[in-house]
Amino acid sequence: MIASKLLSLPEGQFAYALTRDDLGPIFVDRAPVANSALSPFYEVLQGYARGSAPLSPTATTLLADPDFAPLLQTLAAPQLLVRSRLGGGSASFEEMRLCASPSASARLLAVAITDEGAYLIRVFEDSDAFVAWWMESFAGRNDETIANYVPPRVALGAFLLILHTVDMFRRIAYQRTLDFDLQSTVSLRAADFAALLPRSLQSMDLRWLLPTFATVTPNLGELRPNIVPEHAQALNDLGFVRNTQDPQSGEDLLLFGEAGQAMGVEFMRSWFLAAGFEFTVQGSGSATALPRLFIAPTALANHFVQVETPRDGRAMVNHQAYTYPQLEVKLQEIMEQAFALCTRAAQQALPSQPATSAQVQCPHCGQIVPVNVRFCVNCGQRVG
Amino acid sequence: MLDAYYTALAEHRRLDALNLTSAEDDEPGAADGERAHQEATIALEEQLQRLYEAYRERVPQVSLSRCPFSGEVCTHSLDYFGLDGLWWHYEAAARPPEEYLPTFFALDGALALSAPLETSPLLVAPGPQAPFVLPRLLQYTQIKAVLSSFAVGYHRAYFIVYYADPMRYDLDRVNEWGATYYRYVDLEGVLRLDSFEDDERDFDLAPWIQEGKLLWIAPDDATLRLQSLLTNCPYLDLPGSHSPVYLQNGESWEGENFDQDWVDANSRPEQTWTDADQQALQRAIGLFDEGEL
Repeated sequence: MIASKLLSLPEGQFAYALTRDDLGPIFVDRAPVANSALSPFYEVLQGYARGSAPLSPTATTLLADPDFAPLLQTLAAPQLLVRSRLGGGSASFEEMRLCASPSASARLLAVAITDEGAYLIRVFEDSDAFVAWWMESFAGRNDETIANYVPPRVALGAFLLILHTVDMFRRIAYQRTLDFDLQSTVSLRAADFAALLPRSLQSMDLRWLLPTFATVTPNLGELRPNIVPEHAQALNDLGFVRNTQDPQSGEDLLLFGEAGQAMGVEFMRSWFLAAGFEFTVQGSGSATALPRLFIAPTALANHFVQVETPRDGRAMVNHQAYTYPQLEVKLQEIMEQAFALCTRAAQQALPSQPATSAQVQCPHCGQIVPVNVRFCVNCGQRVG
Repeated sequence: MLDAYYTALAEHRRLDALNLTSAEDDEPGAADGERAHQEATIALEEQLQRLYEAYRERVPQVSLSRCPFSGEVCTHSLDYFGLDGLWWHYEAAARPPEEYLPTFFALDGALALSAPLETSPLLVAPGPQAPFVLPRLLQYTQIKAVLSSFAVGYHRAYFIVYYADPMRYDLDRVNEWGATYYRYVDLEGVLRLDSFEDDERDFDLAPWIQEGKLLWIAPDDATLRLQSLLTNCPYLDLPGSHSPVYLQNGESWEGENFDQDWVDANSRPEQTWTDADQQALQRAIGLFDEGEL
């Protein structure tokens, strides 16, 4: 789906396609700089021995293309790499990698693999153009939104339980449908809730929300999410479940609360896909300064989740229920922050230079910043 | 400090009244009296200003809300000891500079009064007695409100903090709770002052909670945990006047706009230029000279 959406190009624009066999001869044998670990082709290039394959006619043509040649350096050693994954709901798993070198160009290059195994490269003139395309392709077109049943912030472990609760509601609702069961009270045994949690996480079954979150959010495991008893309390506090006991068996039961029912119905009826983003900035040591993102559009809201840098070893989650315009603005902001981090890292690597005509001074802190950025790379205040 | 302020204020008002009643006095020696009067007035005004600033520096910063967009705690100055502090002085609220969250938009509030009422001579305008929202602001998708509640003196205060993400710079905000102005940081990062008063309030909070526009924090919850459920929300259909309340000298009244005639009649009693007044004038000068004010 990503590749086909990438190929939905405005008139006058086009994308580049490379075969896997072209990558080594282009990026190892002929690229102007050494490939870095942030290259979208890094894993493939690791297995290539210099000079071991000839340049194909297609690759030869591409290298002679004056529009493609300037992209080589960014593709080989970008300052910014964004891993973006898609899947969940009714969408199958895919990955796209975005790379940019903001200190040299505002362009953002998107790389995805087509069904035929080709590497598709599309050039976006800037991050706003990318966000506009992403929104058009994947976001829910919500003009209004709903209550945010997971107001910020909650611990990552608690958030995992919340997603599991939504899945459990769906599971029971589906089962009741199969059983022609119209009873009004929806509940499940606490023991079942606990037993199904590890199975769900390990399943990587993208029809369910929790495995989707764990799979689509890149490198979530690095945050070492763990679940402790206080996280279960959050389910009660936020109105997802309330504890009770079966009057006959005495078993612990969970009844779905206002939040659990609302989000359960929403995701059961109208969840169609999810996406994840991870930002890595070359050489800044601040790759974790930007949160990982998870976005799950439904008919009611664009659920926007920022998995934030661990505080005291505990990753926290900021969940919002956004309209289409809100999500677009938020994605633009985060992309700008990522670009600003790159520019800052690049500047720190260079000796100090006076401002040029393409640069302005931040009115708040005096930092020299490129004229096309909206937020200062140093103090984070709005510049333009 | 407040006692000293109100003592000085009473003297100042007294001198002010004396000045009004003696303006046409052209008897011998009147010029000396006038000069002494002016000196005393200036001295008292300087003292009042010093006390005002000293108070302002000491107003506590209170964690009273939480941003529904970032989860950050919102702190704001607040004199929670009672309504007799200068923070509550409607016409010249003594409020220190604030460390605003990037998403902070406005602070509004309501206050359910309980006896005994403060006897401050200054006009206090703590808003209606039940919590409400401003539909004018919540109509924008970028803006949400958070309702929280803590005690202020003997009273129950409702803090209604509006947040915006992304920030809206093109809208009138709303006067800070209990003040005639609002402060905000503009697009260039400059702190600015403006004024806007809403008179359309909505006390039916349930629809706003259901729409996700209003979140709430349980009364006296020091952890400031945001909640978005209608279930168990303690702020629905609370009793109390929906009209703004005003207080002065231990009395309260309601109305969309405070009654200036009532204020004038109660805050500046009739005075005549008597020997006792002359003595009061000298006593005020003496108190100031001795550093007691």
